[in-house]
Amino acid sequence: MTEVKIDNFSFGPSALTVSVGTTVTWVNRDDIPHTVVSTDDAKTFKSKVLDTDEKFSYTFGKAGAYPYFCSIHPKMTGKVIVQ
Amino acid sequence: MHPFDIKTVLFAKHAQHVVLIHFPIALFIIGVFFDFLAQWKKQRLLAAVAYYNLLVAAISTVPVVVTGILAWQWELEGQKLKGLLLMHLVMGCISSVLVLLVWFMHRKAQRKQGDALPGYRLPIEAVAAVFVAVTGHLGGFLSGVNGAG
Repeated sequence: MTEVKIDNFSFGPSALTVSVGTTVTWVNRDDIPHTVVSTDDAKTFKSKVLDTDEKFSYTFGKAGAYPYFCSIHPKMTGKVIVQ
Repeated sequence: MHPFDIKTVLFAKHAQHVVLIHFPIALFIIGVFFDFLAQWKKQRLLAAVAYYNLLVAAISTVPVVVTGILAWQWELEGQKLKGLLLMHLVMGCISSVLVLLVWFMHRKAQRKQGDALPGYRLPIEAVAAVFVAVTGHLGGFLSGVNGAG
């Protein structure tokens, strides 16, 4: 399991490379609520609003690049590359 | 993203709610300021300035409420809110009602020409200004303007 920390209005790491089948967990360590939403039209993954210390997990079953953003703060972006 | 898609225009990278909100905040606070000044100086001109500021504040509240609710329904798919977002929503609704109420009191007095504005409007205006300020502060905190973002 790989973790992405949400803090100070950013995803860390902003770009992450994992292998197929990996579960990525986003943890909100910020004081502000955030979401994790894939940028593609199909919305491959989409979390509910994550308050402080709440988590969201998604297992990547296919190789590819998965850009995502926070729908409350669209300038917050990240990317998961699945190999 | 499509430039003519309503969701794109309203939210993605634009976030019209956080842009539009500055109009009612500024107009309402200035309107209240001039109303207090008019009361103190006993000048009709200042009262007129207050009225028109409060009128435009009330009008500009409508698109702010609409874009805020649409952001909740479209971007967050209407999910049950909690914490700061819920507080912002509740405070925003109360503030909007108070802004409209204050304008309505001024409108009512103006329609009955010569009628003095009721004295109890002043504490209501003061309370409304506090609600507007707190709602704006919460919004700024949520958007990152008042925080690290």
